[in-house]
Amino acid sequence: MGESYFVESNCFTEVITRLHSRVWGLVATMVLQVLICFGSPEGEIELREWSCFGGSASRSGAVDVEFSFGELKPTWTFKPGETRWAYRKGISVWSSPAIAEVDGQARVYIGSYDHHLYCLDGESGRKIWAFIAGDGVFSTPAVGLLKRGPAVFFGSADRTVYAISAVDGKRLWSFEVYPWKDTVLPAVMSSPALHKEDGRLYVFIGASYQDRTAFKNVQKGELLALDAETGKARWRKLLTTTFVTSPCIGKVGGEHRVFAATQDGIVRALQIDNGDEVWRFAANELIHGSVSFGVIQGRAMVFIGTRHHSVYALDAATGKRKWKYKCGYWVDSTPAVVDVDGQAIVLFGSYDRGVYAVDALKGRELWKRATKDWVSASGAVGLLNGKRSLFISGLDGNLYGIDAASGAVNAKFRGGKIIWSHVQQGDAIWSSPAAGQVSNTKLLVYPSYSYQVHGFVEKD
Amino acid sequence: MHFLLPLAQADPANPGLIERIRGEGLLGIPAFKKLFEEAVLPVKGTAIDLMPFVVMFVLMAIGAFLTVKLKSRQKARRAVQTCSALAFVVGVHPCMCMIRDVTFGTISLSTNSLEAFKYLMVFSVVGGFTLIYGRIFCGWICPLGFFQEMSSAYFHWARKNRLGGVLSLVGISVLAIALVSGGVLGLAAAAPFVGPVVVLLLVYVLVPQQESVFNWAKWGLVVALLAYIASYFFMLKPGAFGFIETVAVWWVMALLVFAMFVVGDPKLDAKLKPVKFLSVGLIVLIIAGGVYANGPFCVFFQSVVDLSTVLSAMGIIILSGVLSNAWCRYLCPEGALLGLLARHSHWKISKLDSACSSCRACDAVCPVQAIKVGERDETTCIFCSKCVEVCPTGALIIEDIRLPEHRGRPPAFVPLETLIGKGWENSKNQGMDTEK
Repeated sequence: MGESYFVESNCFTEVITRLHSRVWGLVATMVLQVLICFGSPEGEIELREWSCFGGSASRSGAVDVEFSFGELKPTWTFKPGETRWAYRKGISVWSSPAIAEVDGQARVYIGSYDHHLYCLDGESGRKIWAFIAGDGVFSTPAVGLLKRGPAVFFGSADRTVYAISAVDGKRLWSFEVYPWKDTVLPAVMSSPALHKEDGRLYVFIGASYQDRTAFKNVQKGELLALDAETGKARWRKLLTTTFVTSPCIGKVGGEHRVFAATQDGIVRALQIDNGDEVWRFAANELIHGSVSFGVIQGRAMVFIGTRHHSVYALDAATGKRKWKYKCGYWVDSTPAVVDVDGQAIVLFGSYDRGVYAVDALKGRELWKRATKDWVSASGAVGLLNGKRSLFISGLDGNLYGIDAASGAVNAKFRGGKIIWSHVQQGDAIWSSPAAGQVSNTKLLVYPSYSYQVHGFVEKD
Repeated sequence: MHFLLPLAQADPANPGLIERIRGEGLLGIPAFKKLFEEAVLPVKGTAIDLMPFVVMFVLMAIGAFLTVKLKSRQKARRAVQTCSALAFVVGVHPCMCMIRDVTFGTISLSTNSLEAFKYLMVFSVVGGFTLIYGRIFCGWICPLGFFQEMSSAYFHWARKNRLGGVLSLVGISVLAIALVSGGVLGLAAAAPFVGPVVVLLLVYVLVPQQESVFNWAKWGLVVALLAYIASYFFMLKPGAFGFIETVAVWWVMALLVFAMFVVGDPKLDAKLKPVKFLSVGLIVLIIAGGVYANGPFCVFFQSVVDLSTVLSAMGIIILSGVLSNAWCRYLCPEGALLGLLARHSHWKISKLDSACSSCRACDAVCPVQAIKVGERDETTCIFCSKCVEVCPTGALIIEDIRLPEHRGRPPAFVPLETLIGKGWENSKNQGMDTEK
């Protein structure tokens, strides 16, 4: 993938000043001049691979990046420092990372419980900049392109959605979902999904906040659609009194829809332009994981794991249940949807320590593999030595590379012990690995729970 | 016995049975299927099901009504227990580890009302009924109590019918656990923990004890404890974030030790009973400290088949064959909590002093040894009302002691600190104020 910002002409100079590399500046200038000559094109966002949670707005977790690791050995390791704050209910060490191309360079964006959003160099793991939010950053950043240049969107537990420049980490705008009072609690912000419609980029993010005022107890879970350029709300939809998990976006019957699950066990499909409900589905228990979307043999489907040990496949058009698969314990992992040799497979982890592969059409179990602890994270599917492989991490501190077809563990990396002596079961969704390719740099990023980020880099 | 099926399906990528057991644990076994997995009576269209609340209310109401109205209750009690086991084990799926529910529910009251409602709804019924009718839940509803009673009855029957005696049955059960756990390898894995326990047990076994018909059981329990520890360490490894997540296993290990001592010296029974208050205090602390501690009931209610839960449930049920309802007596935190509430209940088993002939028929029939010559320990009594029915002179009656026309004398109200300090046995003759 090359440098390919499609930028409208009126922000020409700003983009040029933001592009640091002189060579790429020249290339961009030429591209922009061409664009100006032919008039402003339908500005189309081109997301870098793994630009948000689940790799794309559909959260399918699958990328076409081919790795040829003999063994998993990190090229670089990033460690922010020795500061280790005490465990607090609901936090995890890292958010999941996003991998994007900025100035032709591979960049890794990752949030942390230490209130920082870090921008790392993909090739060396060097810290480029860090942005300090008001609370922990547990929602996976999403990288998109604005007229002003590439931007990173994320939510922080300080009840605020931030948009910052992907180049230098300067704040572009922030949107406070609920004002601060001394009675508010840390918010639960989902990972944003980006979608471009009619030339405008929108950020979809679930935000839930509680205010323990004595006489007016506030418990709200909303889905927000924010204008990515201005940070103004296009619509806000109150969905629940509990929390909203990360929304995903998929195309059903020629129209895009937002799918979002709430903790109270309801999966909803909403219209993208006004947030009106299209259908809803009540699962069998609380939901802590996020929905993923996939089109299997022409049928659009939505997948979700629940706290009654189940994974559901729903028809994305009607919300009717297609199948239910039951494993041993909670499923908080977002099911990855991937095609392996013509067969669509759903891959997820469970709190019963297992990683499961289920046939996406019928819900039949294909294989299961035990790890040594809970798996609440979601997987990233790439190619490892020619085979479709699931990279997934568990609370046992390992990163596994599992063959998606057979379930054999082909690669394993020990990331180290978690920094806290104890964490509450099911309290947080733990960070997942990400895989992506930026020009000729192939990158697998594994945020280990030992407060380190490991990068596995391969060059073509 | 879903969880006793072969552990993991054959898989060419995964060599050897031992390796598979160690690696996969119980991963090969899906969770219990429940009849109603989706919400039958959804709360505001969410996944929260009101059905457990309704089922519990109906069963508790039936139990309370029959306790009050019937003269002979045991058959009705078995029927209600069976219905309850069917409803909660294979029917609906509530989370009924009440201590965890109450703790989590209270914590989330002002932050997540829906979750708080989910956690507190079942206990609100149980607690409410207990405050009026006493521990109907323990005697009439609790599936774990029911399975323990069944196990106790079965072993009793086996002993009478000379089917090799309980020893062989315990032996077979122990052997099964030991085999499953991989025997020697398991013991090796557990060595650091087993060592001190073995020394303790040897001291206990070698010190001369009073001859008792239960002497054999002592040995059976020693083996059971070792096999239990072995299977836990060997198979569970690690299966949870910390050992504290799997508290049920540690609780049952303690219970095995208790049972061993009580079988050797029945006098210890009364001394160990206040331990259940320590149990409830400790588990509330653990849960309020943010640990998602499991309970042996999770197998039945939540259809969780992780090894610690399965092992603890099995351990409790089998152990009841040696010492009836041992879990209810010494460690059940739910029972301890309800026992504290039951001290304030309206309906009680009270005693007509003039009618009592001190025949001790009630002592013999009590499954939890909560009654001595008609004097009842309310914090242990499970309200099965066997004593009321067995009394030849009708000296025990179930009545509402808040009514002015009640006839009998209710049990002495023993303050909690006295209960914990001296135990019920020692405190009951010290002129405590009665509730009336």
